[in-house]
Amino acid sequence: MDVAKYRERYEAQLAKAATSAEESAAAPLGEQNLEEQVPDLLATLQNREEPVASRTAALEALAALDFLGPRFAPFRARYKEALRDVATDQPQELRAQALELLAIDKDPYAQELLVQGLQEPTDALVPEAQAIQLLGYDDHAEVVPLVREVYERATGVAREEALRVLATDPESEQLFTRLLKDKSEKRSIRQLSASGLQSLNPEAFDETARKIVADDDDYNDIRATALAALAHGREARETPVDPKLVETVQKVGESTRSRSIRSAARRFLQSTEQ
Amino acid sequence: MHDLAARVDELRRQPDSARELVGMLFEQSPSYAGRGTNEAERVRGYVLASFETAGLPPEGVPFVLEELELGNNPYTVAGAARALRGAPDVPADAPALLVRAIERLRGADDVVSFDRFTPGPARANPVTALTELARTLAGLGPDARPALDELRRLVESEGGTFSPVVTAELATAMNALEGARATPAAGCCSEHGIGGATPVSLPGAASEIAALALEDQDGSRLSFFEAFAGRPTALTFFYTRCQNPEKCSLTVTRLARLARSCEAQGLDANVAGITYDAAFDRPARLRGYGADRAMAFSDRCRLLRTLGPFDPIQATFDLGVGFGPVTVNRHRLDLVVLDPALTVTAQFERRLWRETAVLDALLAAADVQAR
Amino acid sequence: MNVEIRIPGADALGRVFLTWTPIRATARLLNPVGTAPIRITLRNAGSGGRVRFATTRTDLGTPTLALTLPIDGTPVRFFVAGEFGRPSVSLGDAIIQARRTGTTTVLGRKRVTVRVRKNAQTLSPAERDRFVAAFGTLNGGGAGRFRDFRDMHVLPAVAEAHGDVGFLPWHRAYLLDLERELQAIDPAVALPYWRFDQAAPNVFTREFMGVSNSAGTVEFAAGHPFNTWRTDGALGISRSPRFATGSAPGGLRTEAQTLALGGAATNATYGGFANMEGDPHGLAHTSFTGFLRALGTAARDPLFFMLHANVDRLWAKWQWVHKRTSPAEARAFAPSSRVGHRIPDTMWPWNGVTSAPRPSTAPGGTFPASRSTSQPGLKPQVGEMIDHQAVGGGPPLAFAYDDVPFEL
Repeated sequence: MDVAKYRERYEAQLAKAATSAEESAAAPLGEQNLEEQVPDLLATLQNREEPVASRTAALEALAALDFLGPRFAPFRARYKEALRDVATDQPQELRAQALELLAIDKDPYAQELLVQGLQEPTDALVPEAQAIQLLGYDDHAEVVPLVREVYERATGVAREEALRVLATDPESEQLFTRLLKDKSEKRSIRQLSASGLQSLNPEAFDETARKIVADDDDYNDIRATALAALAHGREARETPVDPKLVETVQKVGESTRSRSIRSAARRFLQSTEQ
Repeated sequence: MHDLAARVDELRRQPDSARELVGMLFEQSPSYAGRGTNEAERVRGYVLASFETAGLPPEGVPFVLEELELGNNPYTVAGAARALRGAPDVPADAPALLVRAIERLRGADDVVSFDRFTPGPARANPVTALTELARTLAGLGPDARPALDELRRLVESEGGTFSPVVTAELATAMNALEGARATPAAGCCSEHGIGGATPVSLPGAASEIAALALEDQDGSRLSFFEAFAGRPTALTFFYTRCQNPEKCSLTVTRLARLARSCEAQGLDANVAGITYDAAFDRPARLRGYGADRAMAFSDRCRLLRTLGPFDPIQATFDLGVGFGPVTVNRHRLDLVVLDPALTVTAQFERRLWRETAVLDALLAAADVQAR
Repeated sequence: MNVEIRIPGADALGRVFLTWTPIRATARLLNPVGTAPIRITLRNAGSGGRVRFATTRTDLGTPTLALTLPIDGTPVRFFVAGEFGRPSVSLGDAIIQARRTGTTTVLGRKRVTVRVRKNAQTLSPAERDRFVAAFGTLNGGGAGRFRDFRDMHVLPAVAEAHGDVGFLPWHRAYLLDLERELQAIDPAVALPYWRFDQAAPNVFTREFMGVSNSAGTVEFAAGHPFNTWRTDGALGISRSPRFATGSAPGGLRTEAQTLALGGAATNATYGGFANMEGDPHGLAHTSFTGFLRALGTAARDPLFFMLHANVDRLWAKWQWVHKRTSPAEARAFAPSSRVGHRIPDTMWPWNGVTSAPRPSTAPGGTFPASRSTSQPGLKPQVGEMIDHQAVGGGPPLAFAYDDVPFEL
């Protein structure tokens, strides 16, 4: 490609964009004086008379300004207070965003609200699965017993999110082992369980995963998941290559019709060659 | 949690309650068992703030200084700042630690309230953690003068990160310190936490601990005795999911440095860390954590976990650690020095230990063997 | 008789990686026949990437180059660079062939890879798979070296890399560090960029960066390396786009608008351009729920690195179009009073400095070396991150973007 001509074309594009109606006349977020901009945004966010769209836009702008780090630091305390203020507000989207930003920060108030919602569904501010996910940001919270209860009764995505949270608790190892081996279990649950077990007890995972990989009667996606996890786990732990496992994987890779298993097998074998 | 808060409220109303309040600060207190970190921190902050009116007794001072030195939770640190206002005498370290806390929290200020326990939006006149720290500094008067230069440097270099309210409070603090009469400069950080003059030997429990099964970062299994007997040992405690980088991450980084210093000085000593979180911190995790912090593993330098419960270790060394439903909820820094016969000859707790002090303790422990 | 082509910077297996920056190379005769010098023509013979040749350091290389090689085997110098617009699609698919001029006799060949950062939306499935596989290995289910990268981008370290002029150089170093780690796992890999001002439906698929479930957790195809992704001890990636993935996120500045920051053409200044930290950079982050949405958690999501590759690409594009590549040029950077944000400053964590006001630990150690270049050294300085293609001479940083050429 001729670089000079490329430049010419590109400069023409820039010139065209500069004169087009699409160009935003507004100064970029953060270029203006934050001492003026931020209080206005906070006021909009907390003003319940403002349209939801305006309040949500204000929240998004504030969250983006937070990425300015030290420049936004003078406003952070007020910002967090504003988030707490709107965390129980009526527009669901607004409170969900506020709760998420607080939960990411492991805010105790947000955690209390989310726990309350799990204990009393009529008090729930966000859907059950989302509440569990947000509580999962803090593995030092005391939510695991509650999440275990939720796991027992929940279905669908909420159950999966509960399992993710339980993957931080070594006491869950037996649960993950049982779920991973259970062919009648939902496949997404089994895949999650593979990841969970590997994290909690890599040696126990390896033992179970090898059997799954070699089992022609198990589902292809589960076998592929197990194989991929074995490859990555071995590399990360720098464990020696097991010739028997390599042989098994070679046989499986050659005999399977499943693309995902073949690909995972190839990846596993490549990792043993490095 | 609210039961604990109610107890604190009750104590606040009683005279001479300071000692009982201090009792609520011990990490291993059964009151905290099974609680999450946020809860434990909130109770601690609430208790600490109570000393402003209850008076801060001498035995409460280490908890306050620890928080100012290492704390990263604005609520608890603000509580410590308030506690200091109840101290009859200002600890020598306090002014510098207040400035350090302001620097550490400068990007993470938050509204705090100690009038009621329940978290939530502030009702009126919100005050932030940095404001509380600045006000305490201003209130120390001449005793805080040694921290003036450091405070000035901080405001000059980081002034843009403070809100107008905090900026004004810091200006007030600087004025208060500048106007104070000069006092003899005190050292920034005095020696702290060194164990009593009398070595504490492991009683009958020594044999239990000696036989305790451990596993290191390479998956090698050995007993406590096999790991540590025959050489002096610097042993600290940590866990990989510690949320405060000033604690475990920094501790293991410094442990690695200590190991290098021992080698450089030709001191044949063990340098090791044992995780509080044995079930989660399996060998691969220990290895990664240590490697990331420049630990050069060897049979003298390890990170380990217990193969059974951690309780015997905690009990033997009286470690300051509490556990929630899944993992640690709160812990203090703890480092013990053992002599070759596994007798505890020095104990550093709660504050950052000085490498030179630990090296001296190891040399002294080695001398015990030589004698 | 044959011709040996040598290009410096080969890895342990003799593999050479080029970008758009011309690199000095040599050709010489081995096992000569006769006494007269031999005339050869260097040309492209591969089916993938292509290169350009020149006798001087130039951006006007040609697809062929004639050289006269002395019979005594003295090396003859020339320059070689990847041909702009023709990067490799697989390892070693660019072939430099030396033919005896005027004949079809091949006297020598050298496989090279023209390795540059590409638009994630248009990666081939093979390129995509290699990238996610390498990244999955780096994460290692939470036990891999990715931990260090996570620990570099945490709240106590915010001031090192945000809210001041060092934002762009620091993140350029951060990405390059990660990319070199990925290349240590798979040398074919270069960090792709997510172009957030354009629709990128190929990115948000189960085979690539995943599809969000209703709780806002990302799901991947069976066997995908990110199924075992773990950070901070927790499983999975929290992310849900707040836009339809068949379109670009709304409200962000376009590339043209971003490049207009700081003024047009001859007046363009870095200080103005660096305002892109808020928009589009900050808004790109907040166009998702989940990890990406907050500073303290953003680097837990692998998409973070592709988002920032685009941020860096925009900077590289701005530098190229406005000719702001020299650290000595006042408008190529901007002054700061904050340590770590000034031209001669080394950057945390690579400098290992842990005294105040820096964070108390410095994860990851020194900057990883590369066979392809000596830059930026173990403790990179802010100024060393500016001229990444070495327009001003010297060794480059050995990365480039598919749409930002080398131009003198």
